[in-house]
Amino acid sequence: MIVNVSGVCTLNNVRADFSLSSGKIHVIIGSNGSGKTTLLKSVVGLLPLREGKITINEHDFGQLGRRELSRCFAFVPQFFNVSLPLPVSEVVSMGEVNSVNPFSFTRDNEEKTKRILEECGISHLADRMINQLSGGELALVSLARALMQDSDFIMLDEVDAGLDLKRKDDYYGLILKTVSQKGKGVAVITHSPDFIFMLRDDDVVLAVTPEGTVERKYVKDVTEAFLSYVYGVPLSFIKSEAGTALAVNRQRRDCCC
Amino acid sequence: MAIIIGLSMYKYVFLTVIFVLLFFLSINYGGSDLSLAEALSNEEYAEVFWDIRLPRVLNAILVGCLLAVSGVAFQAVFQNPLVSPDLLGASSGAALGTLLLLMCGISGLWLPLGALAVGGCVTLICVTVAWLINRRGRFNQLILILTGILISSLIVSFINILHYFMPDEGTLLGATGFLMGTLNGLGYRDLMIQGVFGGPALVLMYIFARKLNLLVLPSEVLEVQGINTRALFIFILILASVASCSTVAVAGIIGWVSLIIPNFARMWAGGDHRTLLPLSAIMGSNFVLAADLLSRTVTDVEIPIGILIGIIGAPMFLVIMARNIRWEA
Repeated sequence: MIVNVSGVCTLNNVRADFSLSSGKIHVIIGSNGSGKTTLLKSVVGLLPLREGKITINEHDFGQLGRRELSRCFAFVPQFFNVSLPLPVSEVVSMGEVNSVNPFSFTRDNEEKTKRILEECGISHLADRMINQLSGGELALVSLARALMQDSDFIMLDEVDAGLDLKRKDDYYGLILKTVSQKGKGVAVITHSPDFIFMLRDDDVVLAVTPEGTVERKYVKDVTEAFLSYVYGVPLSFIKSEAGTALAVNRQRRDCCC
Repeated sequence: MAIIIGLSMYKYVFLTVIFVLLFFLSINYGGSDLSLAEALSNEEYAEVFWDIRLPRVLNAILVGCLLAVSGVAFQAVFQNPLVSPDLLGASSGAALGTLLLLMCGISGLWLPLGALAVGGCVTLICVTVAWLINRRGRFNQLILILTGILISSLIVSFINILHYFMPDEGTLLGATGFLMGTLNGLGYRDLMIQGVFGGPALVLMYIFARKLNLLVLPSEVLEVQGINTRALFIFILILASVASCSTVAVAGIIGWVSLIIPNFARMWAGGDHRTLLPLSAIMGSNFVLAADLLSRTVTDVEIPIGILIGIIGAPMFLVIMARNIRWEA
């Protein structure tokens, strides 16, 4: 499945022209307030577009019915705020509901819920109440819920923001597994560019630039200069046997970039 | 489904035992010092029992049930455990409608219709005003709740004006009793009124219990999932308003039940509405039955149940608040 975002202008005037395809990870980066979340919400149809249109396999996004829409995207918000208690297993299993028919629940649902909780490594949380989970647990639960929806794309809005190093690593691992095993497309907003180094060469980086445009690059083409430009601060790659990391280059701080 | 019911079976059994106990106590004791055995042995007394005490007890059961369930629904719709039907003016609007009809000398089946019409209109006005204030067109919980509080206080002012200009003392007394909330003098007709309007709302709410679970989740997630959250929101809101307005039409404003009972049920049984709805329905009935029993037997003169529940309710609500805050910390 291919999502084409053509000639789009979002509510806060970011101009975007790119495509998303199944089986790939698309990392959306950009500085604070550059419009990453607005862009993501515009693509999934939560916010209106100023201009342009979005097509899914050549079909106009606006013409799709609710049921078809739910087959395209699953959205994971940055904060999965729930103020009333609800068992985790119920929250995850409701990811599959996509009609207002009250009699549409079957037995398969229970088994599928169990399987997905297992895949995400959170079977032990099944009977806990959703409003008593920690940030890391909540992130995994909301991802499990998105997986339950069986959509072609999963759109993640900076869910990794509050996670510690181990949780972050688990979380990224789960995303990679989802893409490689299920062939889904994923779009992730993140402030940890380190994630880019975990990806394959043909995965995609979508950068919201300071000029308010979106630049699409393959992971293999991402350079120090490009990231420095996007974040407005000099950055350098640090390579070692353990992998690559990114650091602010303090020696080049004074020079402009 | 079967598993969920299985796990909490003992809770249902426990509540049902209490319910049966309270029911027999309620029909055995009352203002007229008439025990069940006496009533059934004498034909004259039997009439008092069948026409006054039994319908009152049955009304109390339905009032508690409807109030608790509509409270559960309101809290799910607004994703806030401290919300109740009184909030969006449903109760005060319904009281205003009933009072207006009472003043015009109209009674009977028109009362719940008037209550529903005005209560429904006030709820609708609240939702519309909140929607207009919030130009994005999305429901902002805080704006909605604030609008509800403001509009209910406006309605209460109207009620007070009506109260002040009551034509004669008889109507004034009736209206005062009504505004304090009382089960005194309710008959089979009131039971029917509540049943006809509240019954279907109750059943539909239980059928849609899983949809109530959905409403608890963030709405943007649901929208992308293909669920029409606004339609669901309005549908459940209408059901809950019908349930609470039909009790207001017969018994007046009985506060607190719809706020406290859902919270206790949630602490005890968790937030899955498939168990929460039936459990809070029984708990609500038990609560109102017990309060009614107290109001009839504690003192020689009957205390209106609304006042009694207010006295019990406020401290109970403080306990809930304290517990909720400790949980979040």
